[in-house]
Amino acid sequence: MPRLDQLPGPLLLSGLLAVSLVAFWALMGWGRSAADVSLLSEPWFWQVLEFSLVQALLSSVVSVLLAIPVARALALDTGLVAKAWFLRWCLLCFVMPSLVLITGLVALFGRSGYLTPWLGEHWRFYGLNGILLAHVFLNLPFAIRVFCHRWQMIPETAWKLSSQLGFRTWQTFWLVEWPVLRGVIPAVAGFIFLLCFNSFAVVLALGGGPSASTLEVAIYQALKYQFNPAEALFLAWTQLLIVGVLYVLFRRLGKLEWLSPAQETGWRPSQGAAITLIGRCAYGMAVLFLVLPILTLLPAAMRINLAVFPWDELMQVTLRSLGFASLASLCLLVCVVGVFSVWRQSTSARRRAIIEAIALHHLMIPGMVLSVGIYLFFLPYLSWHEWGWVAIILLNTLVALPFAFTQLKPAVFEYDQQYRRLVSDLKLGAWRHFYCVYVPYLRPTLQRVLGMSFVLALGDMAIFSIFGRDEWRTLPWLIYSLAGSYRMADAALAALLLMGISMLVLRVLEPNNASK
Amino acid sequence: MKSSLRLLSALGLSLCITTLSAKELTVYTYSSFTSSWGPGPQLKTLFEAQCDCTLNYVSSDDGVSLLNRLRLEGASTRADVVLGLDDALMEQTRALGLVQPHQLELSNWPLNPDLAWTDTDFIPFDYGYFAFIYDAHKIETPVDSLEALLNSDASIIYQDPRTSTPGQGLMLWMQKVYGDDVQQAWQRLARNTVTVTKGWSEAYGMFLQGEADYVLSYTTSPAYHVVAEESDQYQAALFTEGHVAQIELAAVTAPSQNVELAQAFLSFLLSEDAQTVIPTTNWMLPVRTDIELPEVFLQTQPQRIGFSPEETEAGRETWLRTWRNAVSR
Repeated sequence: MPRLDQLPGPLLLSGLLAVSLVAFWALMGWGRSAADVSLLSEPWFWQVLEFSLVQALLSSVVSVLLAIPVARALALDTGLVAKAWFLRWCLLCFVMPSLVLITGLVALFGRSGYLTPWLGEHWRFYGLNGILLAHVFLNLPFAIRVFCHRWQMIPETAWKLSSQLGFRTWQTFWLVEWPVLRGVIPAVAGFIFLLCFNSFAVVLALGGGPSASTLEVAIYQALKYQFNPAEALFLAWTQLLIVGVLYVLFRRLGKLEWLSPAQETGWRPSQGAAITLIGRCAYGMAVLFLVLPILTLLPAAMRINLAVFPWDELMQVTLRSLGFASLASLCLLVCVVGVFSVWRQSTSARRRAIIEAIALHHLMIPGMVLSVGIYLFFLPYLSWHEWGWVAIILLNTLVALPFAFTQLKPAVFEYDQQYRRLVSDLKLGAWRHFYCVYVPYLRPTLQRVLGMSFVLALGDMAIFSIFGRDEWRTLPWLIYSLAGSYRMADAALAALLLMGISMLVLRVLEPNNASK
Repeated sequence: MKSSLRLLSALGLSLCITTLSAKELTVYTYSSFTSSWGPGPQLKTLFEAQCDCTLNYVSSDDGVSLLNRLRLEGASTRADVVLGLDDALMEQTRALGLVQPHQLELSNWPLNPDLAWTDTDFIPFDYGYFAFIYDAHKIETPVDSLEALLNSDASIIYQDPRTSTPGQGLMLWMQKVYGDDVQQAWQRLARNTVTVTKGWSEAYGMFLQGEADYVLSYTTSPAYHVVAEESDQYQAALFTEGHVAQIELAAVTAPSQNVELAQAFLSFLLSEDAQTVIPTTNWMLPVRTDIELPEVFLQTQPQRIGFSPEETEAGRETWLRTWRNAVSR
């Protein structure tokens, strides 16, 4: 008889697969509108494609280049202040709801931004500039964390040896540091490229017109501005193919470790004054760049007119957002625990690989593509107007699943290695084992997954853009529309609220807190 | 009252209760219509006083979004009346089967003969001419034609023709004036464009913040500043080649279960009361000839150019593609 905690597993796996299959089926045209191939002859399409690729490439190159000196300073300069705080802030930046950041950037660099007067007459925020600023803000912290981690992994003995051999700084860099870094740079750049290629909210809010649009935004516009499924399908295929190919390519480039906390270990060579200074400058600039846009929200929000601020609406929208995000992250927990129950049960490496592939394959399908597929598939049978909220919750669950899976896998693996025999000797009931041993063991990781997925779902724009409707507006969409109607102070206040909720949730669910 | 009735039935009291609650009429419209300074609130009060019903507005960003929304919702729409589509969207809406005949005898109202309105599905509730608005404190001699605007180095904000009726109006305007050369014309316009917004409110808001020299709006927009703010700072640039007109329309949706009430609302829109409210809240011209208007409305009488609704419908797809290909370069 299957154990209780294993029951939902197989069902769940087929469900996960079914969603993607259904989306694919819809993308294949499936009896109705086929993809509109005539777009190939439109300069507009090529312009969109080019812009999508160029902005992603620039974002990833800039993020990586800027991250290197900062990460090095963080790893090697023992005199740096507030390191631990900064690395935690980096984590937050990476999952930060993009609308918070966008509002902050507009308040700084927008047409009446605080910094705009110093940027010269020809400064144009909307378009490539704004998109790059936002993408670098969101991804630089990730790169910093990965690189910093790599640098810290260099063993003490390597440093000592290089020092005894009298290596100069550049020699140490070339012979000791570079080989360690080289392994991750392509993977980091590739990953950032994919994230930016799939970026929706940033481009929608900061694109500023049809000349700076990406595939992801074009899909949304084809469906929601023009209701042209044939065009949306073609664009979705293009997006899917490019992301699929790139993903397979980048996967070969190596694995990334970035969430584990930084460790200060052992002896580090002292650096020359010039290098230290450069490192500190880089660090200072990074701190400024990553903190200022958020800090700006405070003075911007101070300017609100309390009398006309839509308090009721903000309240409603916030509660609704919390509801969506809680349901999505709870669904995710159930999902990921279910997947692992099947994973643990199967002993053959091959079956495990298949299960992993099922859990991870959503990484290759951009949320927008998945949404469009599901949307078009069910359109004739079901009123999305009424049932869109179900899709919003479930799809937010799905897109976070690969992340949750990779986070939990080492912990589950370790658990089985250490406790499987012991637990089977104890002859605990299935339920008891599940609640009293298994879940408590995984709890810190589960909490982290819950927190991160909550914040991701809270900030979702793409899935909501397809299934949502005005009356269900979530906090990011409220901010978007406030900023759109030029109510920057109101937008800043709502953004601060969104930011506050995200920070609070992450803080409460942080594994360190959990173990106390 | 309705909710208390629901409660009763939820408690399982299987009494035979017929609808005692007041009727509800749901009107889909665009956001500037329902804003506190728009005609929405006043019309709601006026209509509710005579209908024994509740009037609910549901708003979209702009006219074309309104149509897209209606189309996506299909038969499940809650809308009884759709208000704010225009003559350029009329044929498409009709072809999609989204509206039903209004069954009103239009000759009962003193409608402006220039409109020559005889349509059996849509009724007009106001009209206006698209125009570029400028700040007279900044610009002394405004441009006097599209060509002059394109040749100037003035900055411009306009609306996306895929979502907004003014944006669509500009598309027709450009198409009419430039014909086969419209692609180059769009590219020239793109050089002067600050941004293309999703709806009218966003664009006009940005313009008032000083973000551009010209914004696409209506010849009647300055009237707002004159009447409401007693300021003649903002003026409409009159173009020698003429202006594209927009007739704003209302219709009963095809799936509406509230047809009688919806029809009553359409007749109300043509009433003297409603037509008196609309000019000084929606800042458009009334469709009746017997409405007294503030002086400022009568100052500009542009020459009307454009396409018939049928021509617009036939050309729209191609024209939209031309636009996006030209401006994305």
